[in-house]
Amino acid sequence: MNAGSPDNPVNPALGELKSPEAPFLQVLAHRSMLKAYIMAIVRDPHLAEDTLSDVTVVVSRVWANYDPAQPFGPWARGIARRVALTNLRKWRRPVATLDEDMLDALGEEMSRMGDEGDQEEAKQKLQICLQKLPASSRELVQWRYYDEASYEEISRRTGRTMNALYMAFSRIHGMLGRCVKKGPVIL
Amino acid sequence: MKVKSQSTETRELMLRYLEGTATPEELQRLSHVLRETPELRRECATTLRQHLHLFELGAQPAAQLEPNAPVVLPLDEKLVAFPATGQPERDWTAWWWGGGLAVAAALLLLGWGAGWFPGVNANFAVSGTEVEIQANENVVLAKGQTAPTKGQTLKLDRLTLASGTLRFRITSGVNLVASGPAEIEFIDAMHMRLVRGQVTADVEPQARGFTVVTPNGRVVDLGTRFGVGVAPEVGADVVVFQGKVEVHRADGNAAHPPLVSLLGGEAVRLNRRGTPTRIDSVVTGPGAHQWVVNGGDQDQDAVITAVTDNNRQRWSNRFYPIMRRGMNEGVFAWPYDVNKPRWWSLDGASLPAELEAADVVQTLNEELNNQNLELTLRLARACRLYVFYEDGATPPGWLEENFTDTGERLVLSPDSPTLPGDPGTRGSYQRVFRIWQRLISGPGEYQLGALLKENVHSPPFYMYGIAAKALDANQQPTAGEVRPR
Repeated sequence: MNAGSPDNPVNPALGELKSPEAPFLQVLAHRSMLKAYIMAIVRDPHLAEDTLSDVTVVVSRVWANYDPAQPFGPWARGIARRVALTNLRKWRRPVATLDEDMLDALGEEMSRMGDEGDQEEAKQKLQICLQKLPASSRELVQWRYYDEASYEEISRRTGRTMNALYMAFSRIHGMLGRCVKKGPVIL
Repeated sequence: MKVKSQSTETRELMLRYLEGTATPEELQRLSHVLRETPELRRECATTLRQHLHLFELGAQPAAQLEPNAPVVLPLDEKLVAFPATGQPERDWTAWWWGGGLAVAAALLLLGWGAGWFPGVNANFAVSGTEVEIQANENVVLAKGQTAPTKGQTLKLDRLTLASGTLRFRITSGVNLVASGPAEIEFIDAMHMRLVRGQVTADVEPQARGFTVVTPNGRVVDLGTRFGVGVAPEVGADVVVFQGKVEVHRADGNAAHPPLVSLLGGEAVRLNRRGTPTRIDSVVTGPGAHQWVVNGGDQDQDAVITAVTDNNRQRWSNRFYPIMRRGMNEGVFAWPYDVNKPRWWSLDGASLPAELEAADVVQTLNEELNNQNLELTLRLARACRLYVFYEDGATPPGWLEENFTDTGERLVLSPDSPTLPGDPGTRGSYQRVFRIWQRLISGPGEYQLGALLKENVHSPPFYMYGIAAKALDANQQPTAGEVRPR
C-alpha cells in the first residue's frame, strides 16, 4: 500500500482497519473524490449525495473483503460505480456514461488533486473567486448552480442559444479554475 | 474569427457530458481527450470538481451570490477565448496569424497591457484589495500564519483573525479595525464581506459608498464612522457612531430604498432573516475602537453592561452609549445633541476622585418628560451608582427616596467652564448638576425613573446623567443598603 499517497492519505485517526468506524472514516477521507466520481456517473447533485450515502453503507457491509494492501480509492470507486448504475436504473435515468476506464481516469485525477483538506480549501477559494467574476457571469452561476435552473431555462431567460451558454459556462469554469489555482490572497 | 482553445473546448465537452446533452460524437471526443491528453484530463477533473463545488455552495443555507458586487475583472468576456496559461496552443497560433495580430496590436494601443498575451498567466486578475497595515495588536491569524506588521502593504482577498486587533487602511480611503475572531473577504476596494466577527470603519470622504456585506444585510456608508458585527447564529449588528449609513437587504439592489437609514448614535440588529430591530445599548471603550452590543459582562472592568427602557413607541433607533471607564473631564453627555454638552468639574481641572474613570451612560435627551419612563441598568458588580441631576431643580421621588445627595457638583456645558471669554453665549448652555449616589451590593438590574420638564428651571432642558464605579474591596456595602433586582 502506498501509505501517504493522495489515494490513501495517512490518517492516524483511522486507527485499526478492523475497528467498526474504519469503513466510515475511509469513505470520509475520500469523500470528495468519491462524490465527484459518482457525480460523473449520475450527473445530478442530489442523486450524487444520495448515492454517496448508499456507497458508505455498502462499503461498511463488504468491508471484510477490502484488502488493506491495496489502495482504498480504486476499490471504493468500483463499489461506487456499481451502486451508482443501480441507482440510475432504479431512478429510470439514462445510463449513457463514460466507459469505466475513463471514469477511473477521472477518479485518479481527482485523487491527485489532494486530500479532503485540499478539496475544502479549493471550495473556499472558489467561493471567493466567484465574487471576482463579471456580473453577467455571476448571474449565470447563480441561475445554474444556486437556483438549479436548467440550461434550457437559462436559455429562455437570456435569449442565448444553448451553444452560447455552454461556451459561456466553459469560460466561467476556466476563469474560476485559474483563480483557484493561482489562489486568492488569504491571511 | 474567434477560435476556441483546446482547454475551452474540453471544458465545454465535459459540461455537455455532465448536463447529459453530449452527443455520441462528443462523448467519443471526450473519451479520446481523457485517454490521450493528461493536461486536458486534468482540465476535465477540475471542471468536474468545480461543477460539484458550485452545486454544494449553492445548496448552503441562504446561499446567494452577491448580485451587485462590482466587476473587478479588467476583462472583456468576449476575449476569454485566448489561451489562459502555458505556451500558445495551436489554435491560438492560427488565430494569431489569421488576423488576430492586428486586433492584439489595437489592444496594446488601447493600453490593455502585456497581461493579455499568451504565456503570461494574467488574464484573470486576482489582484486582491490593497491594504496598508497600521497597527497589529496581538494579532493571531488562523492556521498559524505570520501576522502582518505595521507599515506592510498587502493585497488581500481574505483575512481570518483568530484573535487580536488589526488596524489597516484600504487604499480607497477606508480605515478599518478588525477584532478577532473575525473572517473578512475583500471583494474590492469599496466592498468587503464580513462573514463573522467585528469591524469598525472610519470612511474618508473619497470612499463614500463603501459597503460592508453581511449574510443579513448590506451596510452602505454615507460618510461616517460605523461598526458592524456578525454572529452567524444571531445576525448582524450595525452601530453608527458618526455620520450616516444605509442598511439594505442582503439580496436587494443598492438602488432600491434602504431597509433603514441610521444616523450617529443609532444602531440596529438584523436578525437572520434580515429584519432590523433597535439595539438598546452599546458599550464603547476602553479602547478607541472597542464596542460591544448589550453586554461586555465578561469584561473584568465592566460595571454597567446594558441599559434598556420601556419606551416601545420610539421613533428613532438611538441606543444608550455606555462608555467603559469613560468618565473624565469633558466627556460628552449626549452623542448627538447639536450643542454637544459635556461633563466638567466646577474648576475645570479635576472631577471628584470617586467619579474618575467610572462607567458613564449617555442618556437620551428625547426621554426627558416621558412620565412613564423606566430606565433599567444592568450592573455587573457591586458599585457606587451615580445620578447627575440639575442643581436647584425639584428632585423626583425615586431619586430622593433611593439616592443620597453627595454635595458634589458637575457642570454641563459645551466648553470648559474655566474657558475665558463671553459667558453670555456659552453661559446660556451651562448648567450645574448635583451628584447623587447609592451603593449597589452586587450584580443585578436597577431601575431609574422619569424626569419632567416642570421640575427643571428653563430651556434648554437636559436629561439626567448616569455613572457607576466598582467598589473597592473595603467599600462593600451592607446588605440592607441596596436593592438591585
